[in-house]
Amino acid sequence: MGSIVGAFGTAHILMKRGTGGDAGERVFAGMKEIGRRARALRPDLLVIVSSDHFYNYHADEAAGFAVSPAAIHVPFGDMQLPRDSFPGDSGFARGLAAHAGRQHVDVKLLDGYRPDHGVVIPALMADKTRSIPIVPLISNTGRTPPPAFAEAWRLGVALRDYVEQATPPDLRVVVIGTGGLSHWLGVEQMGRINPDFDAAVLDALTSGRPDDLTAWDEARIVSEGGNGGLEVMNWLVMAGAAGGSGGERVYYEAVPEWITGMGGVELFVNEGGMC
Amino acid sequence: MRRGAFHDFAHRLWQEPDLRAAFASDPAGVLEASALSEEEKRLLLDGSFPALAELGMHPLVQMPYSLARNPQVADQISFRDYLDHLD
Repeated sequence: MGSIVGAFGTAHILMKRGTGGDAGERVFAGMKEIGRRARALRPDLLVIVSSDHFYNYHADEAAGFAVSPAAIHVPFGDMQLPRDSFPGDSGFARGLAAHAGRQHVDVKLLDGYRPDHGVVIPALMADKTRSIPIVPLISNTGRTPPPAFAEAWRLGVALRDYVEQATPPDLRVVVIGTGGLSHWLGVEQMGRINPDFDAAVLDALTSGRPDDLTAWDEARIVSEGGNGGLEVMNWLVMAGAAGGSGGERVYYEAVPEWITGMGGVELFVNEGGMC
Repeated sequence: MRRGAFHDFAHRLWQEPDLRAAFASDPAGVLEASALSEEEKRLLLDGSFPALAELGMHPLVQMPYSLARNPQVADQISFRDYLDHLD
């Protein structure tokens, strides 16, 4: 059977270099550290969990979660990112969607998907050579209502179950949940950051208390973390795949110039067994 | 969220690079040639977040639309300077 060998959470955006001051540089260093740790685990596959920023989705997209089955992913090119392609893994993606469905978590197959910054930046941090296949797993944080944090957790559990039961022997999978932390976009509070929300997320995950987060409903998340804070669901998919283990904070900065609380964690994973 | 013609227009700006380039150089002309209502054209041309909210645009769609409407802002949300410094 395959195994989840690593699980990380990280911000997935950086704005123009220099505009975030020293804090922005520390975020970049932290994101690179996440990438180094992921790479050191010698993954055969990176599952990168992100929201779509409406470069692919229409405003009325109904799917809560989707996975891209493409054999080749050509980035969208937002944020002036290069369009050099990443290999995918069609079989893994299709198998995951089917397996999750059997576990009562709907995951749509997203044909024609082109990764935006939410997938491409974490992928480049882990593998700038673009040689490790990626499987983008996309949450729909813009849906009304958004998927519940508890559903994201269940998807992560299904992902781990799938890797351990249905993938080729010795397949080494690293899961990276991306986005967040607190930020408000396109609403009156845009520019606000809530370090208390960010600390609650980081502390719950690194101390192995994901239940603290899965109990949160949409109203609380949006009130305390903003509509951008819904991206924490991507981290919960990752945490579910990690088996609820604890871990450590790698970086955190509230960056006012980038209107976002930005953090990264590594959750420790016991290979081949539930934590 | 209701899809709406203005949402489709915002979506097309990122799906069709030629349209986005034309919009960057002549937003009023591109909007005028569209089938959007006069009120929708006015608010899209304004392009401020309050105007987009008045239009009823999804808050998260406002971000990519705003970047298409304001290429100088998009230049500030760029990863290009980091590319040569990845490990």
